[in-house]
Amino acid sequence: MPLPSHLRIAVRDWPVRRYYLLGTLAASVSSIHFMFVPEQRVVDWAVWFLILIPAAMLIEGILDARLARSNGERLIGETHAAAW
Amino acid sequence: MPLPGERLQRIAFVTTRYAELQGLKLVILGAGVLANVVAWGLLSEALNPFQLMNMQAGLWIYIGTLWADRYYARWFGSVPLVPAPRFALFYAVSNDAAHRSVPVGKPDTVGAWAVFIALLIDSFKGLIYPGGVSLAAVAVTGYSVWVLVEDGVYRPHYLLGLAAGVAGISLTWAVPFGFRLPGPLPTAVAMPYVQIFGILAVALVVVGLLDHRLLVTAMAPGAASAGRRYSAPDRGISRFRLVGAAGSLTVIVHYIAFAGWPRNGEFVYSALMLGWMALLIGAQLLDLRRMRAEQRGAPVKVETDELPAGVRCRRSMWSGT
Repeated sequence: MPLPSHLRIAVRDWPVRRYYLLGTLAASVSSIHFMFVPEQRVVDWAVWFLILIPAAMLIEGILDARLARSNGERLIGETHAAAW
Repeated sequence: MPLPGERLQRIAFVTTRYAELQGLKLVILGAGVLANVVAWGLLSEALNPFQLMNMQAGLWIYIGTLWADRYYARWFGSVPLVPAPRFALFYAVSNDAAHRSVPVGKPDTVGAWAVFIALLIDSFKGLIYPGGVSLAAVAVTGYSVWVLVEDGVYRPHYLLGLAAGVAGISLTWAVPFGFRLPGPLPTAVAMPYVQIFGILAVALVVVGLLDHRLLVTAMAPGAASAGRRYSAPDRGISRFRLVGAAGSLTVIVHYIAFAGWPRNGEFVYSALMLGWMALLIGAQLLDLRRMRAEQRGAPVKVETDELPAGVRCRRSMWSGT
Protein backbone atom coordinates (compact mmCIF):
# COMPACT_ATOMS: atom_id res chain seq x y z
CA MET A 1 0.00 0.00 0.00
CA PRO A 2 2.69 2.64 0.81
CA LEU A 3 4.66 1.86 -2.35
CA PRO A 4 2.32 3.32 -5.02
CA SER A 5 1.00 6.16 -2.87
CA HIS A 6 4.44 7.44 -1.88
CA LEU A 7 5.81 7.03 -5.40
CA ARG A 8 2.82 8.95 -6.73
CA ILE A 9 3.45 11.88 -4.39
CA ALA A 10 7.19 11.88 -5.21
CA VAL A 11 6.50 11.93 -8.96
CA ARG A 12 3.60 14.38 -8.77
CA ASP A 13 5.44 16.93 -6.68
CA TRP A 14 8.96 16.37 -7.98
CA PRO A 15 11.36 17.86 -6.91
CA VAL A 16 9.63 19.70 -4.07
CA ARG A 17 8.64 16.51 -2.22
CA ARG A 18 11.27 14.16 -3.59
CA TYR A 19 11.84 12.85 -0.08
CA TYR A 20 8.79 10.64 -0.62
CA LEU A 21 11.19 8.37 -2.50
CA LEU A 22 12.32 7.36 0.97
CA GLY A 23 8.91 5.81 1.68
CA THR A 24 8.95 4.21 -1.77
CA LEU A 25 12.40 2.77 -1.06
CA ALA A 26 11.36 1.48 2.37
CA ALA A 27 8.24 -0.18 0.94
CA SER A 28 10.26 -1.70 -1.93
CA VAL A 29 12.85 -3.13 0.47
CA SER A 30 10.05 -4.52 2.63
CA SER A 31 8.29 -6.08 -0.37
CA ILE A 32 11.50 -7.74 -1.58
CA HIS A 33 12.24 -8.94 1.95
CA PHE A 34 8.76 -10.49 2.11
CA MET A 35 9.42 -12.54 -1.03
CA PHE A 36 12.40 -14.26 0.57
CA VAL A 37 11.21 -14.70 4.14
CA PRO A 38 10.29 -18.26 5.18
CA GLU A 39 6.79 -18.78 6.56
CA GLN A 40 7.94 -19.54 10.10
CA ARG A 41 9.82 -16.22 10.27
CA VAL A 42 7.02 -13.99 9.04
CA VAL A 43 6.95 -12.19 12.43
CA ASP A 44 10.52 -11.02 11.79
CA TRP A 45 9.40 -9.55 8.51
CA ALA A 46 6.43 -7.83 10.19
CA VAL A 47 8.71 -6.28 12.83
CA TRP A 48 11.14 -5.01 10.20
CA PHE A 49 8.16 -3.64 8.27
CA LEU A 50 6.97 -1.87 11.42
CA ILE A 51 10.40 -0.31 11.86
CA LEU A 52 11.16 0.62 8.25
CA ILE A 53 7.86 2.11 7.12
CA PRO A 54 7.11 4.25 10.20
CA ALA A 55 10.75 5.47 10.21
CA ALA A 56 10.40 6.58 6.58
CA MET A 57 7.00 8.14 7.26
CA LEU A 58 8.35 9.94 10.30
CA ILE A 59 11.08 11.59 8.22
CA GLU A 60 8.58 12.43 5.47
CA GLY A 61 6.19 13.90 8.01
CA ILE A 62 8.91 16.09 9.55
CA LEU A 63 10.02 17.33 6.13
CA ASP A 64 6.39 17.91 5.12
CA ALA A 65 5.80 19.96 8.26
CA ARG A 66 8.92 21.99 7.53
CA LEU A 67 7.82 22.51 3.93
CA ALA A 68 4.33 23.54 5.04
CA ARG A 69 5.84 26.12 7.37
CA SER A 70 8.39 27.55 4.99
CA ASN A 71 7.02 27.14 1.48
CA GLY A 72 3.34 26.39 1.88
CA GLU A 73 2.20 29.86 0.95
CA ARG A 74 4.35 29.93 -2.15
CA LEU A 75 3.13 26.59 -3.44
CA ILE A 76 -0.53 27.11 -2.94
CA GLY A 77 -2.95 28.00 -5.74
CA GLU A 78 -2.36 24.39 -6.61
CA THR A 79 -3.75 23.06 -3.38
CA HIS A 80 -3.28 19.65 -1.88
CA ALA A 81 -6.83 18.61 -2.57
CA ALA A 82 -6.90 19.96 -6.09
CA ALA A 83 -3.75 18.25 -7.24
CA TRP A 84 -5.22 14.95 -8.24
CA MET B 1 -15.50 11.68 -14.82
CA PRO B 2 -19.06 12.68 -15.83
CA LEU B 3 -20.50 15.72 -14.08
CA PRO B 4 -23.42 18.06 -14.73
CA GLY B 5 -22.24 20.50 -17.37
CA GLU B 6 -23.95 23.62 -16.08
CA ARG B 7 -22.19 25.36 -13.21
CA LEU B 8 -25.40 25.74 -11.21
CA GLN B 9 -26.35 22.11 -11.72
CA ARG B 10 -22.89 21.07 -10.64
CA ILE B 11 -23.08 23.20 -7.49
CA ALA B 12 -26.53 21.77 -6.72
CA PHE B 13 -25.28 18.21 -7.23
CA VAL B 14 -22.23 18.63 -5.03
CA THR B 15 -24.16 20.52 -2.36
CA THR B 16 -26.85 17.86 -2.01
CA ARG B 17 -24.32 15.04 -2.14
CA TYR B 18 -21.46 16.70 -0.26
CA ALA B 19 -21.46 14.26 2.65
CA GLU B 20 -21.78 11.28 0.31
CA LEU B 21 -18.90 12.42 -1.89
CA GLN B 22 -16.48 12.56 1.04
CA GLY B 23 -14.90 9.39 -0.26
CA LEU B 24 -11.87 9.36 2.01
CA LYS B 25 -14.15 8.11 4.78
CA LEU B 26 -14.90 5.00 2.73
CA VAL B 27 -11.19 4.70 1.95
CA ILE B 28 -10.34 4.77 5.66
CA LEU B 29 -13.03 2.21 6.37
CA GLY B 30 -11.73 -0.05 3.60
CA ALA B 31 -8.11 0.38 4.70
CA GLY B 32 -9.04 -0.51 8.30
CA VAL B 33 -10.81 -3.68 7.17
CA LEU B 34 -7.92 -4.56 4.86
CA ALA B 35 -5.45 -4.09 7.73
CA ASN B 36 -7.54 -6.56 9.74
CA VAL B 37 -7.41 -9.14 6.95
CA VAL B 38 -3.63 -8.73 6.58
CA ALA B 39 -3.11 -8.90 10.37
CA TRP B 40 -5.16 -12.11 10.52
CA GLY B 41 -3.05 -13.63 7.74
CA LEU B 42 0.23 -12.56 9.36
CA LEU B 43 -0.49 -13.39 12.98
CA SER B 44 -2.17 -16.75 13.09
CA GLU B 45 -5.10 -18.26 11.31
CA ALA B 46 -6.20 -19.72 14.63
CA LEU B 47 -7.16 -16.22 15.80
CA ASN B 48 -10.72 -15.10 15.60
CA PRO B 49 -10.97 -12.57 12.75
CA PHE B 50 -14.08 -11.00 14.30
CA GLN B 51 -12.12 -10.21 17.46
CA LEU B 52 -9.45 -8.44 15.41
CA MET B 53 -12.14 -6.62 13.44
CA ASN B 54 -13.73 -5.27 16.62
CA MET B 55 -10.47 -3.78 17.82
CA GLN B 56 -9.32 -2.47 14.45
CA ALA B 57 -12.66 -1.07 13.39
CA GLY B 58 -13.13 0.93 16.55
CA LEU B 59 -9.69 2.47 16.52
CA TRP B 60 -8.91 2.99 12.85
CA ILE B 61 -12.24 4.16 11.75
CA TYR B 62 -12.94 6.45 14.65
CA ILE B 63 -9.58 8.22 14.34
CA GLY B 64 -9.81 8.22 10.56
CA THR B 65 -13.30 9.66 10.43
CA LEU B 66 -12.37 12.48 12.80
CA TRP B 67 -9.40 13.29 10.61
CA ALA B 68 -11.45 13.10 7.39
CA ASP B 69 -14.10 15.44 8.82
CA ARG B 70 -11.47 18.04 9.55
CA TYR B 71 -9.78 17.49 6.20
CA TYR B 72 -12.97 18.14 4.23
CA ALA B 73 -13.98 21.08 6.40
CA ARG B 74 -10.54 22.61 5.98
CA TRP B 75 -10.25 22.22 2.22
CA PHE B 76 -13.84 22.35 0.99
CA GLY B 77 -15.76 24.04 3.79
CA SER B 78 -19.19 22.99 4.95
CA VAL B 79 -22.60 23.04 3.34
CA PRO B 80 -25.11 25.40 4.97
CA LEU B 81 -27.83 23.45 6.74
CA VAL B 82 -30.92 22.97 4.61
CA PRO B 83 -34.37 21.61 5.44
CA ALA B 84 -34.49 17.85 5.15
CA PRO B 85 -38.06 16.77 4.36
CA ARG B 86 -37.23 13.09 4.31
CA PHE B 87 -36.27 11.68 7.72
CA ALA B 88 -37.01 15.13 9.13
CA LEU B 89 -37.85 13.76 12.57
CA PHE B 90 -34.54 11.90 12.80
CA TYR B 91 -32.55 14.96 11.78
CA ALA B 92 -34.55 17.20 14.08
CA VAL B 93 -33.76 14.93 17.02
CA SER B 94 -30.11 14.46 16.11
CA ASN B 95 -29.54 18.20 15.59
CA ASP B 96 -31.65 19.31 18.53
CA ALA B 97 -33.27 21.75 16.11
CA ALA B 98 -36.39 22.30 18.20
CA HIS B 99 -34.41 24.25 20.76
CA ARG B 100 -32.35 26.26 18.35
CA SER B 101 -34.89 27.13 15.64
CA VAL B 102 -32.38 26.61 12.88
CA PRO B 103 -32.78 24.62 9.69
CA VAL B 104 -31.70 21.03 9.88
CA GLY B 105 -29.45 19.10 7.55
CA LYS B 106 -27.84 15.75 6.94
CA PRO B 107 -25.71 14.70 9.89
CA ASP B 108 -23.02 12.73 8.11
CA THR B 109 -22.06 10.38 5.33
CA VAL B 110 -24.93 7.93 5.41
CA GLY B 111 -23.25 5.27 3.25
CA ALA B 112 -20.01 5.05 5.21
CA TRP B 113 -21.87 4.94 8.53
CA ALA B 114 -24.31 2.27 7.34
CA VAL B 115 -21.45 0.04 6.20
CA PHE B 116 -19.50 0.73 9.39
CA ILE B 117 -22.42 -0.17 11.64
CA ALA B 118 -23.14 -3.32 9.62
CA LEU B 119 -19.48 -4.26 9.96
CA LEU B 120 -19.61 -3.78 13.72
CA ILE B 121 -22.78 -5.89 13.98
CA ASP B 122 -21.07 -8.58 11.87
CA SER B 123 -18.05 -8.51 14.18
CA PHE B 124 -20.02 -8.73 17.44
CA LYS B 125 -22.35 -11.35 16.05
CA GLY B 126 -19.38 -13.35 14.78
CA LEU B 127 -17.96 -13.59 18.29
CA ILE B 128 -21.05 -15.33 19.65
CA TYR B 129 -23.16 -16.60 16.79
CA PRO B 130 -21.09 -16.82 13.57
CA GLY B 131 -22.67 -17.91 10.33
CA GLY B 132 -25.11 -16.72 7.73
CA VAL B 133 -25.07 -13.83 5.33
CA SER B 134 -22.67 -10.99 6.13
CA LEU B 135 -24.54 -7.81 7.02
CA ALA B 136 -21.62 -5.74 5.77
CA ALA B 137 -22.02 -7.29 2.32
CA VAL B 138 -25.75 -6.57 2.44
CA ALA B 139 -25.06 -2.96 3.47
CA VAL B 140 -22.54 -2.45 0.66
CA THR B 141 -25.00 -3.95 -1.83
CA GLY B 142 -27.88 -1.82 -0.60
CA TYR B 143 -25.86 1.38 -0.54
CA SER B 144 -24.44 0.71 -4.01
CA VAL B 145 -27.93 0.12 -5.41
CA TRP B 146 -29.14 3.36 -3.81
CA VAL B 147 -26.23 5.30 -5.31
CA LEU B 148 -26.69 3.73 -8.75
CA VAL B 149 -30.42 4.54 -8.74
CA GLU B 150 -29.95 8.12 -7.50
CA ASP B 151 -26.63 9.13 -9.11
CA GLY B 152 -25.81 6.28 -11.48
CA VAL B 153 -24.90 8.69 -14.27
CA TYR B 154 -22.23 10.43 -12.23
CA ARG B 155 -21.12 7.61 -9.97
CA PRO B 156 -21.11 4.45 -12.10
CA HIS B 157 -18.13 3.13 -10.14
CA TYR B 158 -20.62 1.85 -7.57
CA LEU B 159 -21.09 -1.09 -9.93
CA LEU B 160 -17.88 -2.32 -8.32
CA GLY B 161 -19.43 -1.93 -4.87
CA LEU B 162 -22.50 -3.80 -6.08
CA ALA B 163 -20.37 -6.63 -7.49
CA ALA B 164 -18.35 -6.87 -4.25
CA GLY B 165 -21.52 -6.87 -2.13
CA VAL B 166 -23.19 -9.56 -4.23
CA ALA B 167 -19.99 -11.65 -4.10
CA GLY B 168 -19.97 -11.24 -0.31
CA ILE B 169 -23.59 -12.35 0.01
CA SER B 170 -23.08 -15.38 -2.20
CA LEU B 171 -19.87 -16.45 -0.37
CA THR B 172 -21.46 -16.31 3.07
CA TRP B 173 -24.94 -17.49 2.10
CA ALA B 174 -24.34 -21.13 3.00
CA VAL B 175 -22.11 -20.71 6.07
CA PRO B 176 -23.87 -22.61 8.88
CA PHE B 177 -24.87 -20.83 12.10
CA GLY B 178 -23.66 -21.98 15.51
CA PHE B 179 -23.44 -20.63 19.06
CA ARG B 180 -19.93 -20.44 20.46
CA LEU B 181 -17.79 -18.64 23.01
CA PRO B 182 -15.11 -16.12 22.04
CA GLY B 183 -11.80 -17.70 21.13
CA PRO B 184 -10.27 -19.39 18.09
CA LEU B 185 -12.66 -19.92 15.21
CA PRO B 186 -12.32 -22.89 12.84
CA THR B 187 -10.67 -21.75 9.63
CA ALA B 188 -13.48 -23.30 7.58
CA VAL B 189 -15.95 -20.91 9.24
CA ALA B 190 -13.61 -17.91 9.39
CA MET B 191 -12.27 -18.10 5.84
CA PRO B 192 -15.41 -17.01 3.91
CA TYR B 193 -15.75 -13.93 6.14
CA VAL B 194 -12.07 -13.04 5.81
CA GLN B 195 -12.37 -13.41 2.04
CA ILE B 196 -15.41 -11.17 1.78
CA PHE B 197 -13.89 -8.61 4.17
CA GLY B 198 -10.91 -8.47 1.79
CA ILE B 199 -13.14 -8.09 -1.28
CA LEU B 200 -15.34 -5.45 0.36
CA ALA B 201 -12.30 -3.55 1.64
CA VAL B 202 -10.75 -3.27 -1.82
CA ALA B 203 -14.09 -2.19 -3.30
CA LEU B 204 -14.57 0.45 -0.57
CA VAL B 205 -11.08 1.87 -1.14
CA VAL B 206 -11.65 2.11 -4.91
CA VAL B 207 -15.15 3.64 -4.81
CA GLY B 208 -14.05 5.99 -2.02
CA LEU B 209 -11.10 7.26 -4.05
CA LEU B 210 -13.33 7.75 -7.09
CA ASP B 211 -15.92 9.62 -4.99
CA HIS B 212 -13.17 11.87 -3.64
CA ARG B 213 -11.92 12.46 -7.17
CA LEU B 214 -15.44 13.38 -8.26
CA LEU B 215 -15.71 15.91 -5.43
CA VAL B 216 -12.31 17.42 -6.27
CA THR B 217 -13.21 17.62 -9.96
CA ALA B 218 -16.53 19.25 -9.20
CA MET B 219 -14.97 21.80 -6.86
CA ALA B 220 -12.08 22.66 -9.15
CA PRO B 221 -13.08 21.92 -12.77
CA GLY B 222 -10.06 20.94 -14.82
CA ALA B 223 -7.94 20.05 -11.83
CA ALA B 224 -8.10 16.33 -12.45
CA SER B 225 -7.29 16.61 -16.14
CA ALA B 226 -4.67 19.33 -15.81
CA GLY B 227 -1.08 18.55 -16.44
CA ARG B 228 1.74 18.70 -13.96
CA ARG B 229 0.84 20.26 -10.61
CA TYR B 230 2.60 20.92 -7.38
CA SER B 231 0.78 20.71 -4.12
CA ALA B 232 1.55 22.11 -0.72
CA PRO B 233 1.48 19.41 1.95
CA ASP B 234 -1.72 19.41 3.96
CA ARG B 235 -0.88 20.22 7.57
CA GLY B 236 -3.49 17.86 8.97
CA ILE B 237 -2.28 14.91 6.90
CA SER B 238 1.36 15.68 7.70
CA ARG B 239 0.57 15.82 11.41
CA PHE B 240 -1.52 12.63 11.23
CA ARG B 241 1.27 10.79 9.41
CA LEU B 242 3.92 12.15 11.75
CA VAL B 243 2.07 11.24 14.94
CA GLY B 244 0.99 7.80 13.66
CA ALA B 245 4.49 6.89 12.50
CA ALA B 246 6.14 8.24 15.65
CA GLY B 247 3.64 6.32 17.82
CA SER B 248 4.21 3.03 15.99
CA LEU B 249 7.96 3.46 16.02
CA THR B 250 8.00 4.33 19.74
CA VAL B 251 5.97 1.22 20.59
CA ILE B 252 8.09 -1.18 18.55
CA VAL B 253 11.42 0.28 19.69
CA HIS B 254 10.37 0.16 23.35
CA TYR B 255 9.09 -3.39 22.89
CA ILE B 256 12.46 -4.49 21.51
CA ALA B 257 14.35 -2.54 24.18
CA PHE B 258 12.45 -4.04 27.11
CA ALA B 259 11.27 -7.46 25.89
CA GLY B 260 13.85 -8.32 23.24
CA TRP B 261 13.25 -9.20 19.61
CA PRO B 262 9.60 -10.26 19.25
CA ARG B 263 8.95 -13.96 18.70
CA ASN B 264 5.20 -13.81 19.08
CA GLY B 265 3.27 -11.62 16.65
CA GLU B 266 0.25 -11.40 18.91
CA PHE B 267 2.22 -9.58 21.63
CA VAL B 268 3.48 -7.02 19.10
CA TYR B 269 -0.04 -6.57 17.80
CA SER B 270 -1.41 -6.02 21.31
CA ALA B 271 1.36 -3.54 22.13
CA LEU B 272 0.61 -1.59 18.95
CA MET B 273 -3.10 -1.53 19.70
CA LEU B 274 -2.43 -0.21 23.22
CA GLY B 275 -0.10 2.44 21.80
CA TRP B 276 -2.69 3.59 19.27
CA MET B 277 -5.36 3.66 21.97
CA ALA B 278 -3.10 5.95 24.01
CA LEU B 279 -2.74 8.18 20.95
CA LEU B 280 -6.50 8.24 20.50
CA ILE B 281 -7.10 9.19 24.13
CA GLY B 282 -4.44 11.91 23.87
CA ALA B 283 -6.06 13.30 20.71
CA GLN B 284 -9.47 13.30 22.38
CA LEU B 285 -8.12 15.15 25.41
CA LEU B 286 -6.66 17.80 23.11
CA ASP B 287 -10.00 18.09 21.29
CA LEU B 288 -11.81 18.41 24.61
CA ARG B 289 -9.50 21.21 25.67
CA ARG B 290 -10.08 22.95 22.36
CA MET B 291 -13.87 22.64 22.70
CA ARG B 292 -13.79 24.03 26.23
CA ALA B 293 -11.71 26.97 25.04
CA GLU B 294 -14.27 27.59 22.28
CA GLN B 295 -17.13 27.47 24.78
CA ARG B 296 -15.39 29.93 27.05
CA GLY B 297 -14.91 32.23 24.08
CA ALA B 298 -11.17 32.16 24.40
CA PRO B 299 -9.20 32.80 21.22
CA VAL B 300 -8.72 29.47 19.52
CA LYS B 301 -6.28 28.75 16.77
CA VAL B 302 -8.48 28.49 13.67
CA GLU B 303 -6.91 26.31 11.04
CA THR B 304 -8.68 28.01 8.12
CA ASP B 305 -6.80 31.20 8.97
CA GLU B 306 -3.63 29.38 8.22
CA LEU B 307 -4.78 28.66 4.73
CA PRO B 308 -3.82 30.92 1.88
CA ALA B 309 -6.26 33.17 0.09
CA GLY B 310 -7.07 30.74 -2.75
CA VAL B 311 -8.42 28.13 -0.42
CA ARG B 312 -10.42 30.60 1.66
CA CYS B 313 -12.05 31.79 -1.57
CA ARG B 314 -13.07 28.25 -2.36
CA ARG B 315 -14.58 27.85 1.08
CA SER B 316 -16.57 31.04 0.69
CA MET B 317 -18.37 29.62 -2.34
CA TRP B 318 -20.58 27.64 0.03
CA SER B 319 -20.32 28.97 3.50
CA GLY B 320 -20.46 32.66 2.71
CA THR B 321 -17.54 33.34 5.05
